[in-house]
Parts: sequence; C-alpha cells; structure tokens
Amino acid sequence: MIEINNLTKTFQNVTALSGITMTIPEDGVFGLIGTNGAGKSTLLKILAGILRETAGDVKLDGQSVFENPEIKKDIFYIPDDPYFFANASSREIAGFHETVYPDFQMETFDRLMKGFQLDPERKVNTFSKGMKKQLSLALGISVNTKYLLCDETFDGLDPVVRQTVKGLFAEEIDKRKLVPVIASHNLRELEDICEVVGLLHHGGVVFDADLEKLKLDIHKVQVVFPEDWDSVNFEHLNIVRKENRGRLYTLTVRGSEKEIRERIEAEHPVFYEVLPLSLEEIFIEETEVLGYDIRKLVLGE
Amino acid sequence: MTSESLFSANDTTILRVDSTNPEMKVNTRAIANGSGEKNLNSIEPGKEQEKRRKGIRTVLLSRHPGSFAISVLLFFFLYPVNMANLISQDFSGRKLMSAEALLVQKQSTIREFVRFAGTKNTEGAGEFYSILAVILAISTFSYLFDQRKTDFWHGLPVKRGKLYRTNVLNSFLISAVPALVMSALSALIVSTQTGRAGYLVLTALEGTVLHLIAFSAVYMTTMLAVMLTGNIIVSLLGTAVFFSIVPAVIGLYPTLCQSFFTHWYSRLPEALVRTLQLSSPVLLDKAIRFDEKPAPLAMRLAVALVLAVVLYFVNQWIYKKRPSEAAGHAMAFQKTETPIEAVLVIVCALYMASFLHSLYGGTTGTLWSVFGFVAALLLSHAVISCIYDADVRAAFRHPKRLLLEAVAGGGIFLVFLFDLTGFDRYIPSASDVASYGISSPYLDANQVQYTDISDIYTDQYDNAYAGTSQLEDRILQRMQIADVEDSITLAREALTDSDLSSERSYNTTYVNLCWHLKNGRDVYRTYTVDIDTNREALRHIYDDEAYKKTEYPVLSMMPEELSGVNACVTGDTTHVNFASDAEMKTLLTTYQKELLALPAEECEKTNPVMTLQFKSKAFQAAYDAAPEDGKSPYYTMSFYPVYPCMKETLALLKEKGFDPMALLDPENVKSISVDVNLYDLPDGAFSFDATKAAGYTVDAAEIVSRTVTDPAEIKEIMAVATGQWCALNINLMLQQDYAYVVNVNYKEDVAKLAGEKSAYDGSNVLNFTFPQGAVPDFLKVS
Repeated sequence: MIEINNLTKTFQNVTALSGITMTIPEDGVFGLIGTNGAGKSTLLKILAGILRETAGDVKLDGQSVFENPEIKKDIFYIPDDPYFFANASSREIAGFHETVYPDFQMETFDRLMKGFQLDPERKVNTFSKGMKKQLSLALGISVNTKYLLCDETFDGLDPVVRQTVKGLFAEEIDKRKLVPVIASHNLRELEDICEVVGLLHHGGVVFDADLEKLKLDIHKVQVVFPEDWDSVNFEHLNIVRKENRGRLYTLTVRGSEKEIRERIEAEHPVFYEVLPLSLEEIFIEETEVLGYDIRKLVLGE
Repeated sequence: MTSESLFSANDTTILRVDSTNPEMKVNTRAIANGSGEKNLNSIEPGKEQEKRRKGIRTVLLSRHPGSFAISVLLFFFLYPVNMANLISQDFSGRKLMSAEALLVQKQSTIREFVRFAGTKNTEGAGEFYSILAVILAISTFSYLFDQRKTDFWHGLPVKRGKLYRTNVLNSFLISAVPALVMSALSALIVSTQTGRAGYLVLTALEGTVLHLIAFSAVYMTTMLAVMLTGNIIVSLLGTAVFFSIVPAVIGLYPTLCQSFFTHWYSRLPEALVRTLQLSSPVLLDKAIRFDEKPAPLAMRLAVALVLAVVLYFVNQWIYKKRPSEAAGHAMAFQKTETPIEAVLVIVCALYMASFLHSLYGGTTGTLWSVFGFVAALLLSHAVISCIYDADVRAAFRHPKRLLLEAVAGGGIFLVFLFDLTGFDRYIPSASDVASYGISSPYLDANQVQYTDISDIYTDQYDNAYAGTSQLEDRILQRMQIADVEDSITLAREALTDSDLSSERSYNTTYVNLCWHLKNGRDVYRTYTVDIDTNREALRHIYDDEAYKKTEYPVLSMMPEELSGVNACVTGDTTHVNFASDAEMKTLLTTYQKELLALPAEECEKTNPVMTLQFKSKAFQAAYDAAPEDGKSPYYTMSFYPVYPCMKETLALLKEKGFDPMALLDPENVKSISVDVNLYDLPDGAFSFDATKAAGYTVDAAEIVSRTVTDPAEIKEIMAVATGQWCALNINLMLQQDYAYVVNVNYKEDVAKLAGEKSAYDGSNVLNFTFPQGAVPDFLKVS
C-alpha cells in the first residue's frame, strides 16, 4: 500500500504539490488523473524515489522510498518519454535491467517482445515512439515488481495494443498482485481499467475515491418541469451544474440516485431521467468547480 | 492481436526453470490463479547478490566505450608512438655511429625519455592527463545534465553512493590501465635501442603514478563543478573557475597593493609562492615556476592526494543531496548562486581596476580604475546572471545581488584606491624600530654576483642558474642596521617630494626598506628617492658595517673556508696562483678590511678596476660536482669589486702579476678619442661653433669627436676619467656624464698591461667615462 501524507514538493519558486494526502490501495489499478500541470508526473517520480519530497512523507508498504534500494526493487517507473541507452538493443537493455532488478524474468520479456512483434536485437533508437512505449511496458512487466508506475503510458499506443496491455495488467494483477498506478489524460481508457482514481489539480487533491462509489455519488439528470414550476425549489438538491432549454433542465447533481429521484419526484416533473456520468464528465465537472473550465477556454465563454 | 494470444490458457507460470543456467537451482514462482501470491525461491542470496554486484560495475563500465577508446588512443600516441618516433630519429644512423658516439646517443636518449616519461614532466604529458580527467569527470556523470537520464538512473534500485563509487572507480580504471600499460610499453620500445629496460620501465611507471595522482585531483575538482551545476556548458565554466579561482584570490592582494600603493615593496614571500604553486589542481602535475624553485615533488603529490581524497567525500555528499530536478538547470543548488557569483564578480572587478590603474597611473589611472571597476562589475554580473538563468534578459534581474557585490567589492576597491588604511603614509617612528635592512641598485647593483651556491638551481631541462628572486628578500631580512634615522629620513623625503612619483625624470633611485620593528613585525616599503637630496644619508648607509656585512657575503667568509681566488680585470677570469695558503688567506683578510672601509665617496668618483672571485671550499666542491653543462652559473658568481683606493689589496695582486692600475696610468696611453653625443647634453648647452673651436669635428648631426694625443691633456683626462671594463660589477653610485664617450688607446695590449691572460690578444682600447661635473674644460663643447 502506498501512503501519502501531507506531501509537498516545490521546485525553486514553484509549488508542484501542496499538502497531498491520499492512499493507493494494493488491490486494483489506481488511476491518477489531473489537469495539465497538476503534479501527476511529480507525484509519480516521488513515488519512484527519483525526487525527494520537500515536506510530508511517502511510504510504500511502510517504508520510505527515497534512497531505499530495498523498496525500490519493488517499484518500476515508466516515464512519459523513457530513456534508453544510446545504440543499445532491447536485449541489452533487458540485460541491464536483469542486473539491477532481482526478479527480472527474461523469458517473460522475450514472450512479450514476441507478442508485440518487436525485434529484441534491433537498436532501440530506431524504434518509433509507440514501440518504445511497448518496450517500456515489456520491461515493466518483466521486472516483476509489485508497483508499476506509468506516466501517460497509454498515449502513443494503438488501440489494439492498448487493449492488449489492459489485458496484461489484468492478468498480472490476478497472478501476482501487481499494483499499477497509471497517470493519464485518457480518461476513457482509465475508466475501463481503474478501480480507484485520484484527481489532482494545481498540486492539490480534488478527490481520491473508488470509481464506482464516485459514480454513485454524482449523476446527470434530465428533467422536464411543468410550466408553473418554481426554480427556487432547486435548493434542496446539491446541484453542481444546471443548464436549461426552456423547461428541459439538464442537472448535474451530487447525491445517491435514490435521494435524487425522491427529490425530483417531489417536484412532480413531466419527465425525468437519471444518467450515470463518465469519468471524463466527472473530471470536467469537478475541475470546473475549481475554475478550470475547458468550455471557457475553447468557446471563449 | 488479443491479450489471450500472448498467454496460453494453460500457462500458469511466468518463469520456467532455466536449465542452461547452472547457478539457478530453483527459481519458480508459484502461481495460483487468483491467489496472486508471490513465492520466489531463489538461489542463495549471497551468490546471486555477488553476481549482480559485479554486473553493475561491469555494466556501468560498458556504458563508456567512447571514454575508454579516447583513453587508449591518447596514451597510445602519447607514449609508444611518441617514443618510437624518438628512437627513430636518434638512432636512424646507428650503423654509422662509432661505439663512443653510440654510447653518448644512448645516454642522451635515456635522459630525454626520463624527462618526458619520468617525474620531471618537462614535455607536457601532464596536460594530457588533465584534459582526460576533465573529459572523464564530465562524461561519466553527464547523465546529471539530462532530465530523462537522471530520472532513469535515479529510479533504479541502486543507491546514489554506489552509483558514485562505481562510476569514479570506472573512470580511474579507464585512465590508469591504459596509462600504465602504454608508458611501460614505451619504455620497452626505447630500451630496444638503449638497454636498461628495467630502469626505464620503473621511471615510466613512477612518472605515470605521479600523473595519475595529479589526475585524481583534477578529476575530483571537475566533478565538484559537475555536482554543483546542471548542464555541460556551465560545468565546463565551473571547472575553469575552480582551476583558477584560488590562485586568483591569492594573487589579488599583492596585485591590488602593487597597483594602488606607491610604496608597496613588490615581493612574493616564499610562502606565498609555494601557496600559488599548489593552489590549482592543474599546477600540481607540473613543476610550475613562479619562482626559480618549484614546489617539491613530494609536496605537490601530498596536496594532490589530500585534495582528491577530500573532494571524493565532498562530491559524494553533494551528489546524495543533489536534487534530481537540477538536470538542465545552470546550478544544482540555488543557494550557491549568490556566493559563487559574488566572488567571481568582485575578483573580476578588482583585477580590472588594478590593471587599468597600473596601465595609466596618476590621476588618469584613478579615473580609469573607477571605470574599470564599475564596467567589470556590471559586465561580469550580467554575464553570470545570464548563465544562471539561461536567458539574456536576465542580465539585471537580480538587483539585490548586484548591490551586494557593488558594496562588498566597492568597499575593498575604495580601501585601496584612497589608501584608507594609510599604507603609503605609514612611516614607523624611530623608537619603534629595532633595526632595518635596505637594498638599492644605487648602493650596489650587483647582488646577483654575490649569490651563494645555495641559490643555484636547475630547471626541468637540467640547466643550472643562479637564483635571484628571493635574494633581495633574504638580504632585507638579514640586514640589521641599528642606526635607523637614515631610513626614516629617506622615507620622509620620499613622501614629501611627491613629484618623484610622477613622470618627470630626476636623479633618482629606488630603495627597498625592511624595518624590523621591536614588536617582531617586519614592515616593507619601496621609495623613490632623490639622490642629490639624500646623498648624505645614502653615503652613511653604505658606510655602515651592518650594511656591508650583509650585502657582501665575502666579509663573513673565514680564511679557512677559502679554496681559491680568481681575478678578472678586463674580461677573462684568471686563476690567482699563490705560493701558499697563508698568502691566499692574507689576500682575503686584506680585501675584507679594505672593502669594509671602502667609502661611498670613492664609489661616487670611480669605478672598480677589477673583480675578485673568492671561492669557498663548498663552492669549489659544488663546481667540481656540477656537470659540464651545469657549470655556467659558477663563472659569474661571488665576484667582488676592487677599487683604486684598496691599495694593499692591489699591491698583493701586483705581486701576483695583476696590475689594473696600469690601465689608469697616462704613461701607458697613446691617444684618447672622445665622442660627444650632443643630444645627451642639457638643452642649450652647446653650439656648433664652440664645438668646432674646441677642436671637435662634426661626424654626424648629433655626434662630434676629437682625438687627444697631447700627453698633458691625456694626463688630465686620465686623472678624472674612470674605466668601464668591469662587466661583473656595475657601479651606479658613479653618476656618469653620458654625453661623453671616451675610448683610451693604449701603447700595448691591455691584457698584458693588466697582467691577465686574454683570448683577445691585440686589443688595446678600453672604454672610459667621466663622472658628472668632471669633464676637463678643454673637452667641453659648450
């Protein structure tokens, strides 16, 4: 389990992370989502033991990570733009990882490379961006670490490989309790695979919760009210967003579905429908509250 | 492709037992579908760990094939190829050489090899080691300049300390192994022609070890720059700074004093010279000569070792503290920016101010120095700020820093510019002074002649020289003239007559004073003094026994120390043959008595007529032991003047056949030619009519000449003119009239007259001069 307690990280005059407290459980995939510059990569690098926190602490299985090779043997970090030795082949790079990671499995690596249709003897500097990501994933799985930290790893992969990787993660989780932590903007992809998500914004945590529970706590309601309906009656609803065209209201409401239905029905609508929100919609809604309104940026509203 | 195709349905193991690996006895992972239990049974942890430990070092070493290639190539060409070239040149005509010539050639080649490959390091091998050290230090840790690479290395389950140690060790292996192998190989190559393989190999290895020790100091210093910075350009700049900043700071104080203090005695104490020689890692490999004597090899090696060891641990500590996010930034630690910049900016500004002040001098120099200080302050601050922020627009983005530098540097500058400490004004009161030492070319310009054999040094090419740079210091420190009033008088006169410091030329000389205060301190000053105004004081000083006994070491020589005497009249040195030791010792004691009694007035009116070299037994032994090409310093050392007033000494020498006084005897003179350079006369002091009337012919626009043959006139001339044949002893107390050049033509060969052997038989002309105001009336042109 990863415990992050009041974590702060500053770079000279810039605060990248501010007082973050969250827990990354061992079961399932943790999705780390956030706006641009939210601090996702910074957080992952701290978890990987690359950066040292300015304040607070980070513990993996009860131990600090920074300068702790024993715990770092259980962590593998895949950056957005991975570095490989110049003029080295995939095999050589795998050989290097075999040296430093005690549980590295070359057979797994070979099998994955074959599955990805990558030549292990070919120089990595001739790979495309996507191929390098596949190589990173092959390494990440072959090292057999408990934690796999992925920063924007799904970007650059074609849809088939993406699905394949999801499947691999699922199998690894099943087989050896792999704990992937995936940072991504691709919320649709994360939605399929993540059990828990954490949303960062401007260095702080907006929420960190089980995805299903999250979805259960916020809903989209489309409702048509009678002509004489008084909008003041919205007060008893915890409305995040409200739009209307005439008498057709589209509401984003916090609360359980049951509660929302009761409240809506109490207003005697002509018609209403409760719809679940996608992760992307939840992301937009939550960050809009904090002032990050993509619609304003795009539409100039 | 689906995920299922990667894993067969029945495949429940991730790792199979690797039967090809004999070390791996059991290595399976028990997989229970859905259990996710990790159960790794591996081989003994110790053996596996050992395998990986070796692996990390090997893997890291294999990451630097380029560095290894550079190292091998560098030493290959530096040693074997270079030495193969040497023997090709030296022994190309071996078949035609006689046995003797071959032996001489072999010895010469061996000496050449020893100079190159041994510890003397005369041929620049050390520079190559220094360059390699910089290349290796920067390339080994170049990943710290790239964020991606830094993230990669620091994300591995390897402690930074281990990364550091392994990389440093690899650097040394990359350099040391090729260096030792190639240098030994070069020795063997040379020995194919010269023999003595064992000696040459040992010499080469000794030299290589010296270089590697110095290499380690350069390497660690470069690494310090790497650890404190975040990109390669700034690292290189930082390396240059670390190589030069200590000598620059050490040299700043004497530079400022030299530039701004009129009465600063320009000396580099031996301690300061030693410190300078040891102040930069790139100097430790070479016998750098700020002075004739370089720092001893053992001292340089010790400093290099200590520096390397200390920096090893310092760099390791810094590396552990270094934030990974520093990659790509100019400086790794923001807190170091201000102190580093402040030192560099202040040092630059002060040096520029000193330079311009020295260049122009006076009021002009003051203005230029202010300009130089301000300009250098602003420019260096701007440049460094731009480097820190990697942005030209950041030139003046840090006004507080600039203000700090201006205040600190400006304060130092003003102290020196306006002499706020009162350095130049300081004159001790006589009651505070126990004694003093003085040195002045006016009093005696021949200190070099009086050097001791301990001053002889050999340079890196085994050429021998008489050392002089610390000579004056030692004289000033040793001399203890108790009557201090003259020194105070000279100082006061110099301070009150400020025109002496200006561009106008006077009849002046400089004096270096060392006051030995009663509190134990020595105070050094230099003054330009007017000779005419201070003549009495100067005479009094010269006549002081304490002055003479320190200035002329011969006065302290005991007769039993004397080994032999050489005499020199007009040029050639001739051994003086004595009938007995007692006779020789009598000459010494007589000379000592007369030298001690020699009055300054005598020196003011005449030059010495000959010089004597009193050789001590130690001197003779050292001379005998010196190699043939190392004897030259002995030919000009320890020569002392004999003046016409030293009658007893001259009488003793006449008995031995030396008669320099014959050269002053008008009876021996056939004619005298006098040339007058009219432009050396004071303005308006001549007319061509008067010149012709005086019997001169006009040779050219500015020189007139005449020949005197009248015996009476010759006598009158010889009574006042003084000879200038003593090249080994210059007398500046004699104020010459430079306008008149007098050549005396003798009736016979001057060497015969003087009683010395001469290689230039047949020369019968000697050059004379007139003291100022002593030109006979009939010769005057005005």
